[in-house]
Amino acid sequence: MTRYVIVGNGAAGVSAAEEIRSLDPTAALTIIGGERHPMYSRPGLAYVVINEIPDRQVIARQPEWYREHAIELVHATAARLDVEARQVRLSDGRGLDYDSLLIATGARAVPLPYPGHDLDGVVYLDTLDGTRELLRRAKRARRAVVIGGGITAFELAEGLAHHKVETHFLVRKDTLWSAVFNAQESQVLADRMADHGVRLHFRSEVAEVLGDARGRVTGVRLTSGEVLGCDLVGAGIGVRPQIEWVRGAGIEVDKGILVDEFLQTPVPDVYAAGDCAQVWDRWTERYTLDSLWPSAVAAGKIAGRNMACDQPALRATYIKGIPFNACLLFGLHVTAMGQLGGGRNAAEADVVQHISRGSSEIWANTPHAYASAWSGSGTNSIRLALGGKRLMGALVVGQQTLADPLRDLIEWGTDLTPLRADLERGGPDLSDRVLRFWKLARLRRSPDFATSVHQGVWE
Amino acid sequence: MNLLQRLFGPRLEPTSYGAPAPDALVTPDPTRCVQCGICGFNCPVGIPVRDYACRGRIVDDLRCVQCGKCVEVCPRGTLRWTRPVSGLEGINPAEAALLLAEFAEDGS
Repeated sequence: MTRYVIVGNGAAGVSAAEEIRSLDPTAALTIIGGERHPMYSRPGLAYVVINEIPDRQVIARQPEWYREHAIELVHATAARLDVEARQVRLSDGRGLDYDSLLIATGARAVPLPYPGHDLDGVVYLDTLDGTRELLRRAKRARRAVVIGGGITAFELAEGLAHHKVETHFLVRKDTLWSAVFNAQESQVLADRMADHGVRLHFRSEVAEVLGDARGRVTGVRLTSGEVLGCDLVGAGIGVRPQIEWVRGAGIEVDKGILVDEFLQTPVPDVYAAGDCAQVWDRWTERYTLDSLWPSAVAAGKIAGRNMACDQPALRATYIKGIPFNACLLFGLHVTAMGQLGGGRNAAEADVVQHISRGSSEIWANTPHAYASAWSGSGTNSIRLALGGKRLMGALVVGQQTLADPLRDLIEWGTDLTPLRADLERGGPDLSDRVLRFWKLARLRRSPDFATSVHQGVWE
Repeated sequence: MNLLQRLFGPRLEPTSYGAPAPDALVTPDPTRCVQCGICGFNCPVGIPVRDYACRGRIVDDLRCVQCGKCVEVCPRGTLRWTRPVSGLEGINPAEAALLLAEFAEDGS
């Protein structure tokens, strides 16, 4: 009987377990989870913080699910991997033998890199227990400072403001989320944040978190010397794969665990998937981290299949999709997809950000010439990043009608030449034209289309 | 593939949010789902919508009263109303001819 061990009780681990169980009904299947909860939705924590759902609602698999699938859930932390002995060593000293191993330990919030980062009152939106702690503290706190430039920092600020904590949001640059937003998009979100009572401090960077004699947060000191008093510091500066425990085990590690298209490491019978894995990205042509929940679900399923599949021909390959992230920030829907900021190199990324309108050059056949077209009215906007004749990336703010059509156009690699005049003009009509063009593109891809033209349906 | 997809084929045309046609069903896009559970929490009849959404299965639960609450509350746009369509992606020949003329290669 094969012994499968999955280290990690998150999206990738659970999805792999489901797949393994469906292919191998009798195998021994163990999931090791460091937190004392069944699998829960970490992205869902943002909605717990704004009281959209009670905390128990983020539990995505109940304890019965593990029983029904005959999965042994071990609440422990993996401390060391011995690939020679084929054993995972747990922090409590126990050893678990495996025939096939999946590393799905995910990623954790990066601690603040400033003095005072370990003071009592520095909070993260990272785990269920951490979120409960954050909510407890938010009840008593009067003032909070949020540090970080991306989605998690926004979610932290929204949550704290929701609990009537006076929330100050620090931004290093002149605009919000500058890796993704242009100035107009930043302004739309800034207005929303102000509506929710969040105070924005642009061009502000923390030098130190300040505390009292009892080790509790009392404020932050900025690089300018200014001191902002507060009793909570919310940190959302990014995540880092949890892979320290496999270092030295003979597994190739870069930013994450390097895996091939089968999500397998070069070590026999050792796989990795989810936030801790570094996978091939055909869009940037390099190995990258793929830290998105739906990606982890998809990758876990493929890793599980390959682990349980004894026929090489039936193995599945993981193809990383275009980066796609939909979120709801202060009531504003934002979907970012494809190459918007992170192009092949930094210079091109800047071009994408700063050319505001298309020019004829975008139609030249150089594949890496980027330009963008923008269309917006009120707080709704779309921004398209073009590479040659194709769509490389898009940002949809507010109304989301175009989110799926734009993703299709990127994935299909549709030639946008018929839209050339519209893209160069930009403006309010662009959205409607893109939608109609997508309808046609979809029609052309329909298997019935060729036959219907042949039969003269269109005449 | 579930029963409905086998009966009607996989092509489904979105209808507008909150105003479903009588034959409209809540259909998830699993590539958006983060399994947060807001959908099921808001379901007035207690359908475990998340279990459908995260597996990309159409919510064909007989208890569904088509209120559209789950579609409305999903923060990631995972859930849509769709209905079975026939023919060319639900586009009729007249509209298709218009689209073809509008984006003719030799046009504007």
